Amino acid sequence: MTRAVFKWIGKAVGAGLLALALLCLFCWFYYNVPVHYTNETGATEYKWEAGRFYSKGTEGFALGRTNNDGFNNLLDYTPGEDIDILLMGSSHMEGFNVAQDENAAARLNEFFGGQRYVYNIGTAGHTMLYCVKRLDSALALYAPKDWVLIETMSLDFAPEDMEAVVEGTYPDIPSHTGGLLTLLQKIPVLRLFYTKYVKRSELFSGMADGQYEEGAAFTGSYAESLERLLDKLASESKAHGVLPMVVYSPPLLIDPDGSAHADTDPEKLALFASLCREKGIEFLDLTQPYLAAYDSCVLPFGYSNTAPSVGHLNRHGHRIFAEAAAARIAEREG
Amino acid sequence: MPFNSLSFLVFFPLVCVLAALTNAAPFRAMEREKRMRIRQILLLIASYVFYGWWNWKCCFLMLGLTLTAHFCALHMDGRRRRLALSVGVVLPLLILGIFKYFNFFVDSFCALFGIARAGTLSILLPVGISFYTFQSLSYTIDVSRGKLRPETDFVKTALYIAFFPQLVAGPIVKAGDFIPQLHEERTVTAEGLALGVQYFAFGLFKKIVLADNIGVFVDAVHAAPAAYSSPTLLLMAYAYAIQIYCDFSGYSDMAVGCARILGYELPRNFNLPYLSRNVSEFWKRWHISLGAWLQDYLYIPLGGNRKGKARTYVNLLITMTVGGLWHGAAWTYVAWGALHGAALCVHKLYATWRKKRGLDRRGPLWTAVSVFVTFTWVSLCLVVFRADSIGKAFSIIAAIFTLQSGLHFVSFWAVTALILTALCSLAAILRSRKNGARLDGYYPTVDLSGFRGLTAFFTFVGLTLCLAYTGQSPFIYFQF
Repeated sequence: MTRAVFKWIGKAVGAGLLALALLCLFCWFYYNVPVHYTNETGATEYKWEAGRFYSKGTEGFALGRTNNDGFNNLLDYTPGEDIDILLMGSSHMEGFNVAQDENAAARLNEFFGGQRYVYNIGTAGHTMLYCVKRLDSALALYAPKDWVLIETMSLDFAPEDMEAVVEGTYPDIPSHTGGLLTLLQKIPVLRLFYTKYVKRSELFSGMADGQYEEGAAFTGSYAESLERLLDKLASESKAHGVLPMVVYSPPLLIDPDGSAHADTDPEKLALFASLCREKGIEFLDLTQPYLAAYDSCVLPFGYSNTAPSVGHLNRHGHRIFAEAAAARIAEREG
Repeated sequence: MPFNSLSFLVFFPLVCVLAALTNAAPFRAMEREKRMRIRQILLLIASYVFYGWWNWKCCFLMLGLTLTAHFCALHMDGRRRRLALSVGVVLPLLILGIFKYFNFFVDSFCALFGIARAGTLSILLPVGISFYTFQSLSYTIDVSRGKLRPETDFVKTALYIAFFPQLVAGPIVKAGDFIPQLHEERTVTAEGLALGVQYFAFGLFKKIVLADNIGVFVDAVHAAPAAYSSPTLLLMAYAYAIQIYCDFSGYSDMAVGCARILGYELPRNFNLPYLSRNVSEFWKRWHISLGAWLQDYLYIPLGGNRKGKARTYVNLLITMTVGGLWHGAAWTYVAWGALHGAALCVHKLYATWRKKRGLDRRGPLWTAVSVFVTFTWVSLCLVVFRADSIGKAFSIIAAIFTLQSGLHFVSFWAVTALILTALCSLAAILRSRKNGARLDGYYPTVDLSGFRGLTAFFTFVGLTLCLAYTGQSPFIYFQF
């Protein structure tokens, strides 16, 4: 009896290991996100393992490879190379959910036809606050010649967070690496379980959807803090001789009557736009282009394996983003 | 404590271990009856913990219903039979009426006569009240009909009503099917465990992979149907049919699996409902335990088909409308039930007409068309079931048939689930052909004593967890 039990346990362990291997093979193509490490250059909070194959089937279907710099670009990075436009932003800008040649950076490069080079350092979890926090280092490292574009999904920032960014006390996004932890993260199936079950709440509030800092009141303190934040953005851009552009990419909500709207506080939007104008920052609001696309039955957000208009920018959204940004750049440059 | 929660993942193995411990040496020396009683008390306590997890106060309601059923059954003799039966039927119905339907009827009355909303109660709807109320009624009525001897052991009656695997979302087990199992020695065994975990895993896959992932699409479309094109709305209707099937039958599979692990057998609640060739067959394959309950305790007492054609149709309509109302206190459920009642009447008329003309023989093409038409009808009725109001439901159905333009959204999960359902159906058809048996669903189990079976099972469970929807998504039938 005891022997039979031990024999069965042996079989179960062997079967478990084989099943784990099969699941790893499946997850290699289904959900295989690289490990992220603290970015020592300071251009972003962290960057992905360089030159790593990735796949995402949990939201959209995309395969690709991070470049040698640890970001989602088709081309590798050569230190000192000519970058004309630098893209910064969250997971939406990063574009892990769409094919690599369909994200906004690739679209912009295609649009400029080799006349200009657009480099994307958009990284999951990088709200506008993190982008401004890291702006100086990013501009110093990549030295874009013409523009720096910062994507944001929200205009709701808590005044104390904005102050912390200005004061340089805004907390870092930690990278949990080293030894066994890195090894475990490299096993796709474990990474998926971890992401799904343990980090779910964090994903919702941080990495995936970024900047939903709800309830930042429209008060005098908000306006003052925003002004200081935009001051920092404008002055650092100026110091590096580059034009800043904030691209507001709001999620679209579908109403029961079939219309759609962006859940933006009009007063906040107006204040944001006017402060940007005042500080010499280009402000591109994508609400109208998104709504126009919606009117032609095209959704900028959502995937067939999630839900309509929910989640990250899809390939249509990236295209609209790129077209609108290119048009605005062309307009400003005459 | 839903089956797909972490708390259940701790609770259930603990109950299993405790139940299995009653097989250990100190208990084996005890008398069989005593050992069984300890096990049943353990399961009864576990059942009340399981139920009290939502709201401990509701345990008193269930206890009250159990006491009513138990004592009414015990006094079902001679002169007191009528009184005991009346109390045993009226009291549970009254409790169900107050908790589930009182506000609905008051609101409907007020709306009908244009009176301001008044007199409603601020009460919580206890989870699964409709299920255990029907079980207690089944027990009382069966005893009164002489089909079952009254159970003298309160623990057994209480465990029949509260048995946690089927407590909150069925299947609705008839006392005659379950109480006899309580008189046999049943416990956790290796064979039961091997089968039970596979049934459970199968149900879990249906629920957290298929139903929940489809639900995201269905919810989005139902929230703004005016935004979507006709093909998307039709896909949503089919997708919801698959979602509710996977959700509810998934729960039933998990319930059957849990019970099997503990040594008990629960009846099958679904048997390939979407392969039904007509609505009558559908109701023999869909929510079988409710269909059987309504037939035994409502349709037949109303006269069934024994009182002429017209009365048969009226009885069918009444039974199905009540069946609809059983699902929830809303006109959408009433309309859903009535639509099915009407369809049953139409089918009965049609079947009679065909029989008179000797048109009984049907080819495979005819069968395929019948299955498709029945599935489409059931799916469209479920639009009414799912919608917030009857008006909204019919606007969705109208939009499907009037070629509404709008967003096209082809949900990956809806299409995958439809394909999987078709493939599983095909497998069942081929199996029944091969065995020369009637078309029945089955659990695709493997031998967990061998390496291959274990590998297949672990891989299946791993895939289920990989593909699972991780947002909050309660079982649809919990609300009933």
